[in-house]
Amino acid sequence: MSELLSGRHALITGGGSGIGLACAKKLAADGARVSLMGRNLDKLNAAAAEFADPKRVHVFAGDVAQAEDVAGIVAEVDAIEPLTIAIANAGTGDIAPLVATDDARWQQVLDTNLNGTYQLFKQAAACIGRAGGGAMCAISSIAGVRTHRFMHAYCVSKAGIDMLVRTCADELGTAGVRVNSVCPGLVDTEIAQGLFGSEEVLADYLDCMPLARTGVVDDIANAVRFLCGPESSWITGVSLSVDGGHHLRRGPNYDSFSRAMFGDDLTEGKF
Amino acid sequence: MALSKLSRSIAGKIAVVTGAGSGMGLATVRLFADEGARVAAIDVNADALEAAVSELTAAGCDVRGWVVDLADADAISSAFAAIAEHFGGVDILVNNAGISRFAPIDSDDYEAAWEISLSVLLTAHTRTIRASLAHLRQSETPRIVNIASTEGLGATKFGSPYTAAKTGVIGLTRSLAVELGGEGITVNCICPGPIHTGMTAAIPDDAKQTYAHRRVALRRYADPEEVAHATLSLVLPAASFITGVALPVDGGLTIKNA
Repeated sequence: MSELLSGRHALITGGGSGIGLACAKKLAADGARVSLMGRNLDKLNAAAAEFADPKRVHVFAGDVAQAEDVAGIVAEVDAIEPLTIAIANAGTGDIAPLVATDDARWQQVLDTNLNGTYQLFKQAAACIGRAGGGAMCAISSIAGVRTHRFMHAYCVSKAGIDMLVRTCADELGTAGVRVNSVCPGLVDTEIAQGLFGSEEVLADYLDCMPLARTGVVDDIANAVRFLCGPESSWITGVSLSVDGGHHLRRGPNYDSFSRAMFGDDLTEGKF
Repeated sequence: MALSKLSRSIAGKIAVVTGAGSGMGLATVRLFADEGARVAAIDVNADALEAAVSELTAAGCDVRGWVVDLADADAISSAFAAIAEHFGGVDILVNNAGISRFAPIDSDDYEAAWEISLSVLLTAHTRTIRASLAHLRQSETPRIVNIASTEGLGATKFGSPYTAAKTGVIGLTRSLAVELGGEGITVNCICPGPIHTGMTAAIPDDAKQTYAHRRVALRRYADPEEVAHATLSLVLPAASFITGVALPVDGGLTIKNA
């Protein structure tokens, strides 16, 4: 425990589990008040109960893909104590060859990952600026840096997040708002269990990760904590890879997933 | 891996920092010593090094200095042997020492500028890494951080020896991250932007303000300690999943250009 972040108030989307919850715990451990946003209130309440001081944890049910949800919740959060840290973590993904990509699913991934981050940054920036400055951090991905074949919407959404981070950092520096992202590699979370479940895919991941191990949520949370704290006062507009070195190599091989779901022909480009 | 192993403390770790007598190197030594690390401080300037070591020793820190010209391969290997002997190992290596020699490509002194720039800014890094590798391999949390520059991501007129060397540092970092990752040795680099150091001291304040206002998102120069904190974040035991990264610590300079 430290008090380095006392007087700080952080809002984390997708805060009920995985990387989002781990980030919230790191910030709380350094004295920050934290507000968790997510679609499932029961999950958020269960997450809040895990904190050392639940009185300084607030939960809000809402969907980041809905602009009015984000606007309403940011206002409520800011009213409790001025918002100084915003973490755009909520995310979803999809695997499909281009020609078999479902348009609604494509839109859903973009809405949650990219629009959700945009809405959070848009609503939080003014609050953080009024509070005298602070930090915003997005959870991007190795998928925004290296191609992941058969993962169009997710890759595009994450690459979009990284550019949004840079344009926001460029504009908001004068307001004292730093904006960065972390690009996790393969991390052991609920959402990634499909990847961990395939020995073939997992072996390919490890083969392309110089540190030869998969990540844990605290690997990511520590980096987010750094980028949201006073130690990173000269860092803005950065997308920090926390991926065991995966960004130095090629993206993962999802051929087996595509074959199982869409057949050999679409996987091999035989149209 | 148990989460409890992901410590945010370098207390007791043995760190070697080059260019330790001033600027970012001195700020790094101060911060590391303040965090409880045992620090081998290297600089070519004996007076600056003596002043730094005296200050920190008086404050109760475990810091010792070695005067080394990093253009001298033999001096590097004997200093690292002495450091490992004195402290009993090396856990952290920070290649920070730098010089800034600008030279137009057609200038008479270009060859000399190129040679000294590559020697101190790039070749020396390979030598310090080679000299400490056996000790890093014995460490539970081996970390290498090279201080590159935003010049390694962009370019400034007449800076080709510096830019070529700093770009080389980024390439060296990436390649060694892949090569040494299997052993758990992380290799990263930091690309500092405009910082108040001896290297930028001659630039007039109003010129600094104009530059920062036009090109730096945070609209200012940074203090060396702000870079030291970024270096610290990469050498923590908890930073065990970060390798091969070129992290700009530049107030947003490279968002637009360098």
